[in-house]
Amino acid sequence: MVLGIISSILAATIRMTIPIILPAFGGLISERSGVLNIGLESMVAGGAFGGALFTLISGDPYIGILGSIVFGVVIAAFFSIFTVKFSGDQVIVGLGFNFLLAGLLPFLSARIFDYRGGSPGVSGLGSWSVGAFDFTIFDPLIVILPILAYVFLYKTNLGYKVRAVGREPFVADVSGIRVFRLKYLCVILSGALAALGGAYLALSVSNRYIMGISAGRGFIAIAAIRLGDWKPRKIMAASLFFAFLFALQIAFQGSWIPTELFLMAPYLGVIAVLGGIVGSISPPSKFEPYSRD
Amino acid sequence: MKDFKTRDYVKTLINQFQKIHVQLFSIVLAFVINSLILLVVGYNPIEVLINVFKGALIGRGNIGSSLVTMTTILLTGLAFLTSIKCGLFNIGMQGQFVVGAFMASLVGFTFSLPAPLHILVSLLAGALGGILWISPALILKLKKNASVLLSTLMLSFIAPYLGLFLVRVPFSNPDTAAADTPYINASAELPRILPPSNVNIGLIISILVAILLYVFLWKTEMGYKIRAVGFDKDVSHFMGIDVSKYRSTGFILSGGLAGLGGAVQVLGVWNRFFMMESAAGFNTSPGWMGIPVGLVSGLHPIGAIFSSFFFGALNSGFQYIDLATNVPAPFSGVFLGTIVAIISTPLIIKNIEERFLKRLGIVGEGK
Repeated sequence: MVLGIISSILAATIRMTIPIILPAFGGLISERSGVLNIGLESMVAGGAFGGALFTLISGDPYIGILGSIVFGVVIAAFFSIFTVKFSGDQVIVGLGFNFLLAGLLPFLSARIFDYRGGSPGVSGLGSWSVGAFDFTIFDPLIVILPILAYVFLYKTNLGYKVRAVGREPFVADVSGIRVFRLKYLCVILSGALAALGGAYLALSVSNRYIMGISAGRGFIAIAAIRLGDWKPRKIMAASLFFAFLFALQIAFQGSWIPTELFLMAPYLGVIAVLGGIVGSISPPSKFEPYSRD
Repeated sequence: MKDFKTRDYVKTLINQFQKIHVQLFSIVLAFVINSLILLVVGYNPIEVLINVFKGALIGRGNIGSSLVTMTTILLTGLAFLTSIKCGLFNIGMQGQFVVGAFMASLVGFTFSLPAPLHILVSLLAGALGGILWISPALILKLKKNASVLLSTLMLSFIAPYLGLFLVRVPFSNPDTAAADTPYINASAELPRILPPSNVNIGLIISILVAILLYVFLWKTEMGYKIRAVGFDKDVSHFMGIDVSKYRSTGFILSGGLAGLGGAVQVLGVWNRFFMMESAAGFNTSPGWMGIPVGLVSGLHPIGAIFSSFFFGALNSGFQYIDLATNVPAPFSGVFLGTIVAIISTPLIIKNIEERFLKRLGIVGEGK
């Protein structure tokens, strides 16, 4: 009994980590290049919608994944035009994008699926069962992403440039680094990663797109980056922690404890974490628009 | 010479216009972008916009529903601009709105008091609810220097589930199957002022609050200090102003205003408490609408009266077309989003304007 609960919580934690860790590493890359991507949440939601839409059109969830990346890249490209090209306020533009997608997705959903609350069911991603655990092709990312991000940011020339752009954009520009191009690249990459997280939600967790499917995961990813002190390994741990809080509501579904208490657990977790972060949490980048004048 | 004079005249006009041009341009640009989106999705944008206009302003019922929305979002908009003025960013008005609404209904249905007193006590309870819900963010900021952006946002995500829990379990109305609290006593209801619609004296209250807030922030020493710490905290500190004290005052005021918005909604329109949108996340609930209202107001309480009317009308217009022409109402969220994104990116507007003015020959090529 107890063992059953523990293993189901563990399995649910792994499932819930994917949609947090993907936007978290997307956000990390974007933040290291000096763009605080508050629009992550909208990119997760857009990715979920795109994933469901393209799966329904093609019948193949893998094409759905590609579709979700397209959605994420398009949203992120618009976001980067506002924040990088035209030096908009990163936070408020991000909030604007959240409003925009929160309105656009039910609108499109009503137009395309005739129902604003969500899409019809889609054929989900295949999974492999090992005991109580179901693995999808996304699961290895929990380990691979932190390694890739570490190697990219700390062991490649490009990653070194990205960090330089985030830390001292002016100096980076003077030394010949293409600041704007790198910022565009990083924001668009973050959109693609966040959208992949959304695709996982739509194609593997709920097997359809539902209004409000992202449930604040984009913001929780930002909290995970902060809790993880902008270090890949720590961000992985932070994502697992928040995923655990999401997993509780799955594990305790239908018990005597009111479900609302579990539904608010992840957000309470963020507040608890904000109160518990010790030492400096000053970001390694400057979240300011860069311009040459 | 004559030519020169007309150009001069145009220039002064432009200077007058300068104060509100960012707001106006972003609204116009948002209309253009949204018309394009509608066109792509297969609607006739002109037809849609005419219907939005009808649903917003034509007929007593439609104006009424515009004014009802305006009443609440004016207060949440004031909450947002106060928080920006004091330098601590409160984007969690939705949470404070929900808790304020619940507190007002709690006082409304549990106590029996004479009418004006009952209303006053319920309104204060709402404001207190808002303050209660913003205080964790303030404490975390003061003790741990935690980002108020994340904490107020998370508190807004918690509040809907708290509200659902409260109306489902401890305070559910035994007479109905729906998830809501009992109706408030008649003595706590805000009197209606345009009979067939729900417009109530809450509208007058919120406009009065806007004027009072203007007087407070611009004409009193305390308000001046609150704006000073928001404008430049280092210089303020150097001048001997207690930065954290005045920031906290502004922040608490912001929470109270958003809570008051919830109270006005419950006492004037709903007469009970329930969760309008059950899921956490961005939507066009009054709490979230405070962000665009505050931004378009030009961060000025009197401007907020106009911007809240605009967004109230927009909301009412989209509710109308949802029923009349089958364009889904959530599209108003796209409108809010584009306006918010454009208004916080003044360079876009500047670029377009400069090109336009160059073509008119008003700005020289040298620039």
